[in-house]
Amino acid sequence: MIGAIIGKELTEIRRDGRALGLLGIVGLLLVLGLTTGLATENAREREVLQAQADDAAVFLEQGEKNPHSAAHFSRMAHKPVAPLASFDPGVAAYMGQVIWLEAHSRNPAMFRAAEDAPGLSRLENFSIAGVLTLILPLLVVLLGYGSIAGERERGTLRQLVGSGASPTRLLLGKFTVIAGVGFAVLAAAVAISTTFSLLSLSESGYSGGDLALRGLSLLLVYGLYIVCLTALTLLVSLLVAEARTALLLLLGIWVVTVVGLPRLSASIAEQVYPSPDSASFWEDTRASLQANRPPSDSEDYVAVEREVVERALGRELREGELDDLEINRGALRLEVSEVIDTEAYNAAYAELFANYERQKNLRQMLSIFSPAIALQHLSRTLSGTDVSAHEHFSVEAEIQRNNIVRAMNEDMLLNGAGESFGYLAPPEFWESVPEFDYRPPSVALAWSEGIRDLTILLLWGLAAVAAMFWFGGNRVRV
Amino acid sequence: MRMTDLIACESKMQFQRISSLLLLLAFAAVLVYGGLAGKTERDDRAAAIAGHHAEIAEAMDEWLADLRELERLGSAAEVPPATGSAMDVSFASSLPQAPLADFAVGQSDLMPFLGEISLWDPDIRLFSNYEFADPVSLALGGFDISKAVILFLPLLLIVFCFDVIAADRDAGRLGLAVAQGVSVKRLFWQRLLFRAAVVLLVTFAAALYVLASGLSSGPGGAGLGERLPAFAFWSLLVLAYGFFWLMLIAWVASANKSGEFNVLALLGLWAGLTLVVPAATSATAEALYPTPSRLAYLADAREVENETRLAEADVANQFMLDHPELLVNQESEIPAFVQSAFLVTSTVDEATRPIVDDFESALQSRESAIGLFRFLSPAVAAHGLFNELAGTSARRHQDYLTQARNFKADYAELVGPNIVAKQPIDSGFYQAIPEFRFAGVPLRARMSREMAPMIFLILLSIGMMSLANRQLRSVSPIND
Amino acid sequence: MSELLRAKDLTKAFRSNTALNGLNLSVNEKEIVCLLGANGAGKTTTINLFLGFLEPTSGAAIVDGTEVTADLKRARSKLGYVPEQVSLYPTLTGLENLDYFVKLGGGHRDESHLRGLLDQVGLDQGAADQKVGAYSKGMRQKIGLAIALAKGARALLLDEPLSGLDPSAANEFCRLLRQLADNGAAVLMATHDLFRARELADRIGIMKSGTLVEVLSPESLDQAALEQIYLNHMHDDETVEEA
Repeated sequence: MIGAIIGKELTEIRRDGRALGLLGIVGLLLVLGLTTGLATENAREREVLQAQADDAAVFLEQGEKNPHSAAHFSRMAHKPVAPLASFDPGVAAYMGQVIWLEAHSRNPAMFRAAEDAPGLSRLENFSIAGVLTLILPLLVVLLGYGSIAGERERGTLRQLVGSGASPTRLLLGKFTVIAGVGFAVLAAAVAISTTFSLLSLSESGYSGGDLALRGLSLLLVYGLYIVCLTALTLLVSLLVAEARTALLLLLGIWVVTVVGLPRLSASIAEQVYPSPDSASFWEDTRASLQANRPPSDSEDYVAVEREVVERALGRELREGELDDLEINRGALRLEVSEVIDTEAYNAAYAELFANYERQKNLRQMLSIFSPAIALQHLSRTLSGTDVSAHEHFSVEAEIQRNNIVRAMNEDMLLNGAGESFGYLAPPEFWESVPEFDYRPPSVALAWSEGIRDLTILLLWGLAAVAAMFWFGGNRVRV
Repeated sequence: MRMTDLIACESKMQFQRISSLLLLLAFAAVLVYGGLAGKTERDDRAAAIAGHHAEIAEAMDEWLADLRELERLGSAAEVPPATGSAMDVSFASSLPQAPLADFAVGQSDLMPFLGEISLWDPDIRLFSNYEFADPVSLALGGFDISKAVILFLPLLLIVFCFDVIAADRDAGRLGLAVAQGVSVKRLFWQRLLFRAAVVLLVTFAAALYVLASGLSSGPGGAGLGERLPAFAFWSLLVLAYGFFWLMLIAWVASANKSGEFNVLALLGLWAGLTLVVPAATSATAEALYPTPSRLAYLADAREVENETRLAEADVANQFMLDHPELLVNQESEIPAFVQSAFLVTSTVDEATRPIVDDFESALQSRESAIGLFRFLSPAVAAHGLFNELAGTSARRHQDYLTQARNFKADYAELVGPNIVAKQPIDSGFYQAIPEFRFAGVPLRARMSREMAPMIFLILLSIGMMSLANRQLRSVSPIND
Repeated sequence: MSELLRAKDLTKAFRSNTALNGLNLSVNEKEIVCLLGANGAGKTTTINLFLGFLEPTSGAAIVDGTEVTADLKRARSKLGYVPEQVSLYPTLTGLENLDYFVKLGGGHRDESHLRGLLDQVGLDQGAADQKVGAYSKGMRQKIGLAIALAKGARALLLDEPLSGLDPSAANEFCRLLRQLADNGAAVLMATHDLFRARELADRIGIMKSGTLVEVLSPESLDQAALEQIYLNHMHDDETVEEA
């Protein structure tokens, strides 16, 4: 029987020009999303790799130079382009591409790609993920709004149920077909997009296995979204008397939950937990840096001095040895301040990211009203283009900054005794400074980030499906 | 039907229903929320600008006090070694808030609108370390009343007007109504205009509230006299935008189809014109007209910086050759690292200027390519115009960045010889240096370059209106 | 007696299908004419042509001397129309619906007048203030008639107004029509109810496949004649009438 229902539904879809038309448009938009996404992201990736190579070369060609000067010049840490950014660019374009690993200062990532993108992109982002989130629901609505209400209006529902068809099976058949069409579109989009990303996978540090897992995960969460949408559509079609009312109501729900609420939730989160503007961020950070610096004659300060020197020498110091050592005292001061300031910087950035997290939590709460919010969170996370991926990079880059600056300071400390800032490191010294070997987080981090959003999406799906079968079972109104 | 009867009947049947009232109320709430969110952003920006100017002014007061001390006491003054160096003069710069800045956030939440201009920073770092805003709300676009109008005004019009005739026709009432002697055409336009008027009334009530609440209150507030002309423009735009959508609705709704067909067609058009076309346009433009790489710019700047440092002596000599007057100067007073920093920065700036120029021309050619797409979608055209009106367009921000760079270059030109000669400037000279002032394009000129697509849309609307009128002749009061 | 409705060689063709073929018929004041025929015989097409909902392919529909295609507005101003299914605004009361349709026609009647009309068509006052959503079909037909009366129409066009009414409601409706006709109205009613037609009409037109095949007087119809008509004319035509 299910087979017959599915067969009839598919025939209807095939013969309904509107459904095929919209399917065609969705397909076209996906292709456009894929090509523009791949073109933009691949160009960006090439730029990153080129810039990394150039930066390494410039650093090695510094010649004879004071290491502290070099620590100011330092290196640039380039954030790799997440391979699935062509699927969902997420917020990557709004988060800076490169961090200057400068002495004394932990900088935010600079050059947000969005600043160079057309202003128009602020009206609506365009990507495969965007099409799936925004336009796919329209397809589901179009396929499903009349599926019960229309049959009821035509009187065919009465006839079907009267002749002994099980309403639950009828519903299941319709559900399978609508969700199936949605899922077919989704599977094609994710598969093609993941395959292209796998093919263009370069030395950015992402592995093929990880990428495939991300693709599968995306299939799962978008699949859940389709389940939510289909169940909701059928539920509305069950509950209202006329197909036309069902259509109006569903389009209203679409506008509110898919177009309106995600924007509104982001705006509300920003109003409730405002991000700092740069002036106040730096003011606060400078204040906490000041507060965090112990006086140079304090025990705390001396303890750090000792730690720094022991680390540079690779051995423990004897009691009183610190004062007698033949070292560059200026370099010692620099490294001590570096060690002390790092704490305050890390606290400041941790607070910044904690605020993003608070904003996310608030949006998550609002996703009770709109599964699209939870879906967007998950999609970004799994594509590696969310805030947590950026935070991971930022933290790793900071560790690299500490390593580079320490290498500079230690060289001056050990080899520049008595020369103060006049010490120059030899031209070959720069080769000894380790490269930044950034390993992007695996899909495991994405899952741990996304678990709550997944739960919300799951609850949405369960609630919608349960409600659909509750109202669509033997209680169904004919 | 008489006008008063129409109003009474329509308001009873369309607008006294709970669902309609809730919808209008929600629309008004979204508009007001957008307005207030825009106002918060504007006030935050204005406060940041005020703070920035105060901070720089304070620093420069200290600098000037030291310089006066040096001038008074000479070498006996207890002042820092680089006192009086033109290198240490910094300028506050900011993009002034336009009177209607709260009506559209535009690119102001993304692009720099203030920054210290200092010779210590090469152009590439002139505006740096400001990237702290929440990326998610940036990505979803700042929410403001203009965006609410672009997205939701058409929707409200569609919801209230899609079945202006189809509702009666679908329910089999149209025959009865027409048999009463009313003309379908008259009934259609009367209802359509009345319903649209109600929606527009709500829009303007909300907008007036936003206009009033953003007056002089808050740091970014502007007076009514300043705000009114821009608001008049804004209102005209909203009317033109609403007119386009109303005529599009009229065109679809007069086509003798069912209400179901109308709503699907109109929603499809709405999604296409306000969401898909702008997004696809911008994605395509970005892929087709990529800007030169910022990362390559950075890499080049660093390479030049490195080379200049390696060849610093040669660079200084060259500068001396270009400025022979420096050779007669007295012995140096300012530490050498200041001079070397200046030489490096100005060499880097000079060497990377072609890249910056490429950047600007690439952005411009992309913008003009997008310019064509404005004719494709009223949302694209309105978005551009609203941002121009609010002074938050990408172009205005770009202009500001360019002017700041040029100001720095002019200042470097002016004081370069002193810095390379390691000489301080005197306080009189300092006070004669002009401050940075953003030279904006006047409102009318800004609007006129964006006007063509709007005029095109209005013409298109009039075309659709006459099409609708023609279609109405063949509306059948009985169902097919 | 003046002639209020007149069809003169009235013809309507939809592409290859002729829905109405050269109809000649007139309805005078104080007269009720019933058009009898199966589905697709051309009854509704005739009414739609008088209302100007359709344009004739040839011939003319004339209302009180005004040709419909020449001056639609004037013709409509003299017509009252009750469709088979009187569709009203379900959220408005009977009185409010009546008021609205009167106003649509550009008229204005005070409430007591409207209530008087509802009274005249036999709708009790309690029902007049109830929402139409809860009305029976008979009650909706009465509102339809009241709408036609409110504009003072002298010619009434009724399209299967009795179908779906229970016998007592149909009786009452027929009584009302008779009363209106006696007061000077011309009534043209399409129906396929032979027995009602015989009771109500002054003349009965039998239609088949778009042609008026016979005009009979009710007195001439005995049981045997009725049976004959039923067998000859009252099965569905193969051609589908287009609305």
